[in-house]
Amino acid sequence: MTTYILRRLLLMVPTIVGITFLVFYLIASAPGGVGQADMSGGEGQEAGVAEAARQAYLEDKYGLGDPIVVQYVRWLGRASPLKFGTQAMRDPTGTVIYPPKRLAAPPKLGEWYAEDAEASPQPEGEPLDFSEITERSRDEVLATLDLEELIERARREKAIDAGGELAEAARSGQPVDLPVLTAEEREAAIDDAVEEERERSLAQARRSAYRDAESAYARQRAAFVQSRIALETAAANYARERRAELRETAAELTREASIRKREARGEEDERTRELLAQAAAAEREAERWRQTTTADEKPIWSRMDRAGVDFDSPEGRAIVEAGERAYEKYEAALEARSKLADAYASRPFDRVGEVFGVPLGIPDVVTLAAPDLGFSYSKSRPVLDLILERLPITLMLNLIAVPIIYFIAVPSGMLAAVKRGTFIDVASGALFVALWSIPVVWAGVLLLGYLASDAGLGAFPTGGLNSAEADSYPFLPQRIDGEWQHGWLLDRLWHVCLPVVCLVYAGFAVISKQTRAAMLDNFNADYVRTAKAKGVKNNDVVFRHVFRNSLLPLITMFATIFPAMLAGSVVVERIFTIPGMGSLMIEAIYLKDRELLLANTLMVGVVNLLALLLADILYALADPRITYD
Amino acid sequence: MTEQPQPKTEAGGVGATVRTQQQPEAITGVEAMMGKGVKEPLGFWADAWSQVIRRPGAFMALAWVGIVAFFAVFAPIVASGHPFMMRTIDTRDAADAVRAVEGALSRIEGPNERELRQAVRLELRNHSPRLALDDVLAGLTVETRQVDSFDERGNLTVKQSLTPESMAEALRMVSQTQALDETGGVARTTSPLITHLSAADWVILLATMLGGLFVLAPMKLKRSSRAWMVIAGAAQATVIVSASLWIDSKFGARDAAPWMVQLQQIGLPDNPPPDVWRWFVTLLVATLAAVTTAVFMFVPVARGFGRRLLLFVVSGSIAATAVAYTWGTPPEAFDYRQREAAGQIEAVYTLVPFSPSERQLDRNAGTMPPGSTTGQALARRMTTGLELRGSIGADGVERILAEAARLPLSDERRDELVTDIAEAAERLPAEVAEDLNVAREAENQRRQQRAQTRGVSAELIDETPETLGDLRVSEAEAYLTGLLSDVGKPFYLGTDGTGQDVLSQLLHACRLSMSVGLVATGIAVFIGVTMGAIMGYFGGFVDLALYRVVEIFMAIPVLFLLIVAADVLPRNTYVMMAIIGMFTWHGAARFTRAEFYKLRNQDFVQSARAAGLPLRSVLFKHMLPNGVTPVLVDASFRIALAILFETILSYLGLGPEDQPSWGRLLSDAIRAAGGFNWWLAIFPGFAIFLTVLGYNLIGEALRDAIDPKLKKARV
Repeated sequence: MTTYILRRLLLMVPTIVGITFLVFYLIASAPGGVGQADMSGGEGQEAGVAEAARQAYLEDKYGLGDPIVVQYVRWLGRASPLKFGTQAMRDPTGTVIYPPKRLAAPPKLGEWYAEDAEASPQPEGEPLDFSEITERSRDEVLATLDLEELIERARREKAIDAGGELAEAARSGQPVDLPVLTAEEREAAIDDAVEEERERSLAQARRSAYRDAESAYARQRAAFVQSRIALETAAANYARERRAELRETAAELTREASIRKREARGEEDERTRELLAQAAAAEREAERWRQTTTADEKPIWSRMDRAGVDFDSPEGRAIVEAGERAYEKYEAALEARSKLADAYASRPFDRVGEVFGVPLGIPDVVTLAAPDLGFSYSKSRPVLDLILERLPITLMLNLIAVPIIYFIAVPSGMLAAVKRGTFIDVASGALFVALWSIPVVWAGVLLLGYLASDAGLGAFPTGGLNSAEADSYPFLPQRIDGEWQHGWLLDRLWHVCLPVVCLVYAGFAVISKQTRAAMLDNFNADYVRTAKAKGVKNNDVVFRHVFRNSLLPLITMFATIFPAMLAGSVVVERIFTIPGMGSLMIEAIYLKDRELLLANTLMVGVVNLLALLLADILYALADPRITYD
Repeated sequence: MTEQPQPKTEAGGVGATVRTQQQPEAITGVEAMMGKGVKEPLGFWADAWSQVIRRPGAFMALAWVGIVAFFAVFAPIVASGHPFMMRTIDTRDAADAVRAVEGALSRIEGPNERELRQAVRLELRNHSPRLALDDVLAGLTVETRQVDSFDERGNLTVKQSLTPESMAEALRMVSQTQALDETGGVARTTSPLITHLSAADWVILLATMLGGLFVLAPMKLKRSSRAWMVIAGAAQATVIVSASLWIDSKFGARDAAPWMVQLQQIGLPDNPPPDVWRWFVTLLVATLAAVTTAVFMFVPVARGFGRRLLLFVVSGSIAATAVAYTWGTPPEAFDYRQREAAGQIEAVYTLVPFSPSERQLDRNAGTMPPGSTTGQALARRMTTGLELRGSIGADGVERILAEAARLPLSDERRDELVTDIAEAAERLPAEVAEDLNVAREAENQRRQQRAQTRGVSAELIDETPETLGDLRVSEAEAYLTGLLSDVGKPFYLGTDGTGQDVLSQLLHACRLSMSVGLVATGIAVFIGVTMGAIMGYFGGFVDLALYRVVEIFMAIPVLFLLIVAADVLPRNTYVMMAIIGMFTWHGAARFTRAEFYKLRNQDFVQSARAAGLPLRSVLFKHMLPNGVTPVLVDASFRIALAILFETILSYLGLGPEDQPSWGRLLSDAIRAAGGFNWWLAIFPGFAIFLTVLGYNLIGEALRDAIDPKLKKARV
């Protein structure tokens, strides 16, 4: 059994990798790519500073310049609990910090900056030199400290160490007569404090160095991206101009040729043919230039290089200028990047994969750490926070819905089995199939329309989880000033009423049919006939023999129903505007928020696979005849 | 149910057989040996289906699916905004065009033939798109040659360029050569409905009718194999149509290559010649047909090379002709009602005279309840933008008058309407004022009652209205609707948020529902059975690896994946069918895998392998027929599920953009601002519900008929 479970757990890994890659690929191949929904705002010839900064941020955050597989592996490395290679760090807010990524060089064109073309080294970074802080003398450090307070604290500690009544008083901070320190103790206390101060200021220096370098790099990168966009625009301009020019030439030549042709009464002489050939060549050349840009006017550098840019023309000079500027900014960004790398190498924060400073695994080779699900750019919050906020809501809906389903479906299934073939059986079967066939969107719309909207009864809220003023309600219903206050809990239940109905109604059919089929199976079994032959009362046969044995499939259903309900809540939450996991997922998809979507996928996938595994284990536990060896 | 053919020696013939069936009597042993009274057992599936149709629920479900299928095929000719027959009875088109062209020509300076021709074409297209443009252009070519001068020897030469005068003259001649009717106008009878059918419509219509005849006709060939032939031919036609759509989208794209643009512009005089585009299209579809025929020749239907060739050549050429015929149909302009009102045409409409893509009027008429008419849409157009609170006042009346003068009606009708409104602006007709007064009093009473229960003071409507300006917007709209009551046709099931008729959308959406259900399930079953067969047969590492792929789809709700994919990919019917099919195959794969697992050690499989049969044969000829039953029984539920997925995606706004959909109609029920449009919830919702229920009932019945375990349990 243990090996079976281990095996299944191991097999989950490729499945999870597969599913996340599928979603990753889909979202990466979206037109416009990650963050497309957000980018639609600032489009124009001249990219603004804010737009460039945003693009630079996204590019760096997601490594958008790299191939999809590389991006995916990077994401996987962050999400995986096993970390290979250099350990990342975690800042006090919980954000995980990684070493700066390679900065892609601006595109090269022609020979005019060939000397810059060699890949600039982008080193890992050397730890910064903080000797100024570490090597400050004791007196220098002491000068920054408050000696009185330090002694006071040391005395208080001594009192606490001593124990007794005095310790109690000292602990609670009451003014008492504290013991006097000996000279040795005094020296030791001062030494400790100096050492502490040194470490504190060292850590602070590291952090501020890192933060400074980080923001400087972000600025430089944004400037670089802006200049790169300008370079692209210049190149696209060039291609457009060139194309228009060539088209014009071709049209001119054709016109000339046709005039010649008409003058010669339809005869084509040498010159006419030559003109036509020239026109065709110009047309071809124009086509070649058209192909140097993509449909959305982004230059394709290699093609442009092959087509041959004339750098002496005004548009060509604009490219050179823009390119030189881009290189300048690139150099500056590289310099900022190397500073950041240095700051990073001096370890400003605690490393992940450590518990109280003890590494889990081999440091910098393989470590075990909590998965980093990333940061949702559209919500500007860590993804984990979002999920932890939304998951309980979905769970609450399902934990209300699932028992209701079981309480209705199991007895009705039993009844149908006992009264098999009668009207009750047929009617309940038909009813459940009918319920099952109602599309959840229709049910939601009908409930909203007739029960909730103003045009209908208006008896229920049209959406949300609580009334706007619910925060001020008492938890339970109360009488306040003679007014009946229905309280937070009732308000919540009143809000989830319709969504729960939507979640519940479709679930009956499956469970009820399962119960009925299992009961009927057992009714035909030999032991039931034996029991009946022995004269066991009918009720006992049904409840003690048949029902107990029919519970097996229902147990496994319980494990698998959760994933199904999770899927169902996507739609239900959308209709009733409930901020649960489902609506989070849909928002992530609409906003193309990659981290959020992938984290959701990962979570749902793991939960579902675990539920499937749990179902199998429960099955074996409940039925001793089943083993997995 | 088929009757055992009687041996020839038997006396009595057919009449005697009937009698013996009606009153069974004792037969001799010899007769029994000869097969008398013995019914031939039905085949496996025939038996199952005969049990299915004996259940009333399943029978009704089949009937409903049949209705949906009927509209899936015939909706374009049952519900269309294009008249089935149209008689143009006006001469103004031609005369107008001549005038417009003359005007355009006079503006152009210099004898540039190319510019002249382009200007003429542009003018013709813009000004009078309904004039038989091709006739005019063809005539133009001829006529211009006539006005060009001849040289001394009488040879036709193009000595001088076309002048505006010669061009206009030519056009005038052309317009005169068109058939004139007795009133002196140009009379032509056309069928816009037929010309506006898309290639897919043609293919589906022809496949259903010709294919149906072919299958039902008495022939020696087995009916089931004929049905397979029709299905294969339809598949080929689908491939041709979708490929042509794709190519067409490439030509219409913004970044189309220059040669594509050039090819499409018929207006370029020298290079290429005008007919090149038409030739190109013909050649293209012919190539498509040839290529698909060559590929489809490998499909194992219809034994025999010649028969297969015939089948695919016929279906390929039908599809190719349909595509070539419909390629480049001008965009739809639903201006028939205006022209009808103006007396330019006489039109005969189909049963439901609206197309799904037809917006009511140029401005958004918004949602209207069932039973509203196009007249109400006009009334609403006159009152849009008026202040909602209080009476509309004098400026409101002015706006209504201004709008009324612009309504697309015949001149007399419009004058009449404007006069009526102007009179009402002075003084409302007595009975109208009386009615309104009664209505207002009732409303006031209601308000007072409601106010009393809530304990607030009621806001009452002021006294008797006397002029149009005293009315409120809704009352004015009702009054104007009354004035226009003779105009227009009713929307039986109301309109949706964009003012499009719901009934016609409901009918047209049958096709999406049907095709998504069937095609998506077909794709899913195909992939699933193949994968499952491979997994179950080989086992071991292959199974382990491939089962991870299955698990991927089990690990995450398929709906998530569908939403992601639908959001990212282009939104059309084909993509919708493909993604639903490709994300739902894992169930079929698991079923098949389990079956093949059991089958692979059975004797007949072992012997097939021992006989050295190729793997393909072992897998798909010997094992598949024995292992595919559970998958096929399950397919009905899968169709229902696919339809549900389609509904949900369309509801979320991720459905196909080129097709009306029940789910999208449903989404308008709540989203439209202000309350609840019940007709948008009830009708499409019921359609989806009945369809899904139908497939589920059929699936249940089929499963009960086939699954022996359940049969036993039912006893």
